[in-house]
Amino acid sequence: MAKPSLSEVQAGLPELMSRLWRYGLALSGNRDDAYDLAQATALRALEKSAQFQSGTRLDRWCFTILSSIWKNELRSRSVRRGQGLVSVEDAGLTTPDQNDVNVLATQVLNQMMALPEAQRETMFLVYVEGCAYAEAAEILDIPIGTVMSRLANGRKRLNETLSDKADAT
Amino acid sequence: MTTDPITDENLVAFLDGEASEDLSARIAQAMAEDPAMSGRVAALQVETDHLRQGFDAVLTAAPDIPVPTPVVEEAPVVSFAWGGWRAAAAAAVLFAAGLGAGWSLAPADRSDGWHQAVADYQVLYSTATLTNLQMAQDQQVESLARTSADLGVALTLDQVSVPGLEFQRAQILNFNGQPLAQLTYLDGDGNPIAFCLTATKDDAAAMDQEISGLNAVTWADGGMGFILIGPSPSKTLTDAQERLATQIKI
Repeated sequence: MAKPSLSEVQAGLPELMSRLWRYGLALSGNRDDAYDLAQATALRALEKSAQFQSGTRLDRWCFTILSSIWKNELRSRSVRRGQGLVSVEDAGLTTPDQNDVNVLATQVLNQMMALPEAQRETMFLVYVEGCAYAEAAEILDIPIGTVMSRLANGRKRLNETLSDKADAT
Repeated sequence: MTTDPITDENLVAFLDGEASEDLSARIAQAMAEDPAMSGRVAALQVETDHLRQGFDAVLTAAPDIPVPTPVVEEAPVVSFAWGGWRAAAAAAVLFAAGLGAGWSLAPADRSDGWHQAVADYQVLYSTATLTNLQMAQDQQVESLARTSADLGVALTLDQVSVPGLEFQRAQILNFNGQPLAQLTYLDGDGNPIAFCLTATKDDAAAMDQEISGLNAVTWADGGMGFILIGPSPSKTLTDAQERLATQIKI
């Protein structure tokens, strides 16, 4: 019989895959790496399901796994392949319906992808995935003060580049 | 009363609703009294809603990603030459798209690399595909030699022979500009099996998979990626994998 934690992980993973992929994309800026990261994360989550605490959030637990796989295993490979970050348009990530909101969103997205990885990842978890500071700190295995300083630096940088852009037009 | 100066981290916590009541009150007061403080807050303002909307649009462009199946204990435990293969099973998945085409422009396009390309090709094979092209042994040897040369790896008939599988022929294909060798076999039941090799960077332990409805074993060693794929029972493929991994040393 399946253990409770395994069946919980099995049941929760299918609907999480696209969000894992998106986190992978925010980290790697590359669709293939994002795909690999999502799959590797799911596989490891299933293998380590005994460590999942029933009743806690599966998405946060999987984010922790994904972040660690990226840093320990995949990032160096991606760098070796020499694939830099590509703008969201090049990645085919823009929606066909380009209304004003989408244009703005795309702009912010592009600027965020240009941030250093640590800031980008922290901002993604807090502002896109809605993690509390404490959750982000746990996922990234860093002190909460580091979460805050990454957010402060990321926000400043985004604010600068976006207002530069607004001034230029 | 002396208080700590308000840092940018404090201001961010304030903007994100993570500041304590006490800190929030101090910041609100400082902003009311000091225009420089308002300026500092303004410099940290970002439309986080736009950020979320942008990434929500990204979510709709996510490919359909199957949840992989971990190798379970009752599966035939093949004594792979690599240590810690269960722990390394994830690496095989990572490898699956290792030679992918980089950015894939169509949002709905799945980009899981050459394994998928091989599977898509193999799906079209029937028993007759191979029996109709039956070669004499010297032609088989010649096709293997030619294919080996194109791949840049010397393969002999002995190295690619597997008991229970009947070697048919070898040919060179191409994936993203890289040579990809395809060796075809028929199993005892007449199922067409492909054994493909192409250069890759990262090693990966052998892993059972199902790709496009076909059974497959994938692995990578010494700069070469391998896949065995066909409609045969998984055991036929894992046995063949063990044999081939021992015989072929890149």
